[in-house]
Amino acid sequence: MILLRQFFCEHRLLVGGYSVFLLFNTLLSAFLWPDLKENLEAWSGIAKLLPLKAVQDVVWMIEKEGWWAYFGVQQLFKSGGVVAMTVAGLLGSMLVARDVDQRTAEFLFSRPVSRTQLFLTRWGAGLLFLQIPFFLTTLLFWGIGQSLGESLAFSHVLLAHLHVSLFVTALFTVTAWLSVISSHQLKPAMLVVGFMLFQLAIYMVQDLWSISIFKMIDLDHILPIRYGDFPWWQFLCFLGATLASLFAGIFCINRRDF
Amino acid sequence: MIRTENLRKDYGAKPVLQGVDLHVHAGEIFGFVGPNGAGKTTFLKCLLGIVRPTSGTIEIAGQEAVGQPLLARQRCAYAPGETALYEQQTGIGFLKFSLAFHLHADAKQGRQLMEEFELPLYQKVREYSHGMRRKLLLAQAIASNADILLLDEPMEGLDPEARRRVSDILRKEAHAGKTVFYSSHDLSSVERICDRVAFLNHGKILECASISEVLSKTSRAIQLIFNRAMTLEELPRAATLHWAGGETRWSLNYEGTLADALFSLKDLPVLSVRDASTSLEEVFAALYTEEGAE
Repeated sequence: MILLRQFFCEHRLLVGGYSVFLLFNTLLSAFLWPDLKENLEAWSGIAKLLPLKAVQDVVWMIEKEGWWAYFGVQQLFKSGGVVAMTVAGLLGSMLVARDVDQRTAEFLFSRPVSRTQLFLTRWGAGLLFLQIPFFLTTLLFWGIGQSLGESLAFSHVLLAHLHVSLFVTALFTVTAWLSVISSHQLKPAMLVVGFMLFQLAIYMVQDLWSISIFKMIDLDHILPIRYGDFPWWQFLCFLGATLASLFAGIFCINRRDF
Repeated sequence: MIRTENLRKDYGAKPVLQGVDLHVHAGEIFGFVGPNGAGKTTFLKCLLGIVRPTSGTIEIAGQEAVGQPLLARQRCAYAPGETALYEQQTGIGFLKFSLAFHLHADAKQGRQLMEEFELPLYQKVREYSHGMRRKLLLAQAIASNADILLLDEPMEGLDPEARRRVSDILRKEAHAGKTVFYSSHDLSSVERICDRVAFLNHGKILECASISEVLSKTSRAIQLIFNRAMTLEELPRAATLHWAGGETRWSLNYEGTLADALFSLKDLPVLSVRDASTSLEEVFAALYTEEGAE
């Protein structure tokens, strides 16, 4: 418990800022929907003028699927895939490398607590701080949708959220593992966030978007959930990456000299 | 209480500890001295499992510690030489955080120690000076109530009054049966506080003995100033007394106790007496010069 509390105190500004950002995004996006819905044709016309195929497709899918596609883009792809991904990179990088960087590792690892326990506690704490605001804003988005007369099956929302949140978890765990083997907190953060921004840039390019990692959580995989088609293959990839990174992190932290 | 046998640690191709054999008894204050880079901190880190030894054995309180460092850490409290702390925490917050890991920690004692060291409880650690951080680290180590205190440079940055307090506290802890492993550059404090001392250089123990044993191997002398010129014939003669000097300034090398030497001067017109015996610092310098020459 003390480790959990200390981790939160150390990162409260990041966690607080992230939560507020998600909340604003959710509220603004959800309450913008009635206006957007009324002017979808105009938006579609504007999108056709843009040279970005990804944006044209999104607007086209919103036109076709309505609130479900809008929810997928705003809440799952933007809040989860982009914002939570960035915070996952920052938070995960601080798991161990921050102590090495700030020279508190000698003190921390001299405490009578096993390294595995320490790593798992911090990993769990980071994951909670990352997932709770994301999950709560998803619930809020869904709730606002109900009040706007847009009904979505809660089970579909949960499944879609689970899919994206596992993507964020995998990313956080990979960063956590890199943090265990790094001596400076910026290195894993820059590596992961830089890589993901590169992936996002690729996603925006028409001919390359199919090889972007973001393709695994975009509307092509979220929309079919409504029709009972869950993206199992992608889900298992995220799960595999999470477990592999978790075991690698535990292995490395127990072998490293601090 | 602490026993290491042939303890080795290499960082890549560089050997830092080269077969350290050490035995520290329960209830003693054990001094561990050596120049920068001798391997003192690496040795402490090996004891706690912060770094993994390349080979050798470590036994702490009768239990093998290399394969199970957690057991060692449960018996030890550590005040690292590095004073980087969690800057966002308050002094009392840091104390609570560090004591929360120790089963038998005494938070009340920790708070009392902070007050005794005049540390502001609710001030952020980032506003603490180097000496205040050192005191805070000492307070958490002592209040953790572990059987073994591992202290790395505990007096560094402390004012004379704080040094005196820390010395008193460490003696009390040792008197209560705790083992104090005192790694330091500050040889005068090692000489004053410790029961035994080990000299480390290039990862090897050069000598390990009690302080009195180490000092007894060296010359003991006093320097005297008389209030009139003295001749050698006027000075007391004995097989244990060796005079050098002339006029009013003489130097006396003696064997036996200082009290006996001073007693032999009782009828002489002595103006002042100054101890000129070899200190631990000189023993240290001699040992390292000898090793360097080899």
